[in-house]
Amino acid sequence: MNKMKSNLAMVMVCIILGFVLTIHFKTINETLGDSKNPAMRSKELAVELESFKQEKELLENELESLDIKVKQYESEASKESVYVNELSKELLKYRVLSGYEALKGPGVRITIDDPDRDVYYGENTSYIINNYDYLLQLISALNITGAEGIAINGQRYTSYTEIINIGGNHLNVNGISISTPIVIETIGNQENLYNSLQMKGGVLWNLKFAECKVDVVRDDNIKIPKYNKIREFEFATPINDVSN
Amino acid sequence: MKDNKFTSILILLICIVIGLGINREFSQIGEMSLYVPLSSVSSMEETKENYESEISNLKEMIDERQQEILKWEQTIEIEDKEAVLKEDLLKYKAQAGYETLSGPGIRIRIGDKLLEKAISGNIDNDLIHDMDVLNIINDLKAAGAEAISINGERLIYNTGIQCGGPVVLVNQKSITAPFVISAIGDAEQLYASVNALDTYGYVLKNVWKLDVETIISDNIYIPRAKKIIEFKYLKPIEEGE
Repeated sequence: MNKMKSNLAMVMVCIILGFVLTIHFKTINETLGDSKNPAMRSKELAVELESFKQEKELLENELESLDIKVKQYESEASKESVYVNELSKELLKYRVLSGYEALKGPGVRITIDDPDRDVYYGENTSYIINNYDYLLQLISALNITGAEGIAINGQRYTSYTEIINIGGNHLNVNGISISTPIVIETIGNQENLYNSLQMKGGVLWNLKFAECKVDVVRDDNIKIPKYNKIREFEFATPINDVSN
Repeated sequence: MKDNKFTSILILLICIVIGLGINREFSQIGEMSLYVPLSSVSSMEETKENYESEISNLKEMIDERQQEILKWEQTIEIEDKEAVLKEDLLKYKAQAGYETLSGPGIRIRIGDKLLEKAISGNIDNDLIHDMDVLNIINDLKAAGAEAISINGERLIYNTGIQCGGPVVLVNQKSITAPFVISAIGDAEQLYASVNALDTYGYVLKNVWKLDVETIISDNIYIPRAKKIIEFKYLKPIEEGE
């Protein structure tokens, strides 16, 4: 009888051990793909990332030199006629409005990070990313206060910018995934921006109440990158407006 | 007695084999002499994906610029140069929201709850708030909306939407419920983004029982922005800076 029991216990332990080992290897294989272990995979990725980074920098430089060329053509043409000069000034303005110009100026930088406390059971791992409504509210509040330009983790906020959580611990902004800490940079009247963010009951107050780490600093030299993506209208067509 | 001994030896052997196996598994990692958590591997994968999409975006931008340069090279007459600039201006104006647009899309009307009696007893839950509008608009943008307006106010990059008591302020103008949000884009995707199960719009309609109605139309008209923006603080960064 006793032997039966111990045998049974043995079988149970073996089954559990088997399951655990299977799950372990399955998870590792899913994350690693063909590589043998995490250290190797991370080395491979590091090499790939380095080459991607270089490629990106190269392309950015190329784009910049092309931009300079286009601007040269514009300024040359501007010298020839006043009308062209006016046109290119207008063009610059609308390029700023649509997000295709990098900007600089005085403003504030807001850094928001998750609380230090342990994650509760049933909760996803990042508080901010699960409550990204706060970010929508924050950006709306900044705009009401008169922000002239906003960037979230280096992504320019344009009229097309979405902030969505498509699962996991990151948000998609302009189709690029970002994760905590969230850094929002904004150009505008420093005092107004700073003071409005301190409002009791405001977004940052609520985030602080939820034990998030919030930091607001004034910076006289905020730089906001431009939007680096082509947008073509597929569905919308401009129509001649009588009031234009 | 003999039987017992045999079993013991068998177990010992199995343990040795498993022990060796596990040892091998760990010593492999040990060879690299560092411990890498899986979470850091998957975050690196994410960074890689980011780089890939950024690079393809940059390539498209470069293509466009090259075409633009080609256009400039072909123009000699000042009139042609004007035409090139005008075309560009129209494009950027439309992107910035300063051109009236029309196209297929959807129109959503969201109003306060129609029922006389508050379900939860809290009137706040019966009303439509700035937060609801912000969320719906964010979902529309994610579904690829090309232009959005609320009660005829075109949304541009710095449009704030804020509760102002009985009204909601959009572009510093007060608008009141029911809110009519128009969006141009892929009508079916836009429709799904507010009506599919578990979307924000679905919850507003079916859980909070607000008055949400969506129609698909082939001809949505979205007026241009009228807000005049003067920049006081920002400066474009000169190239090469």
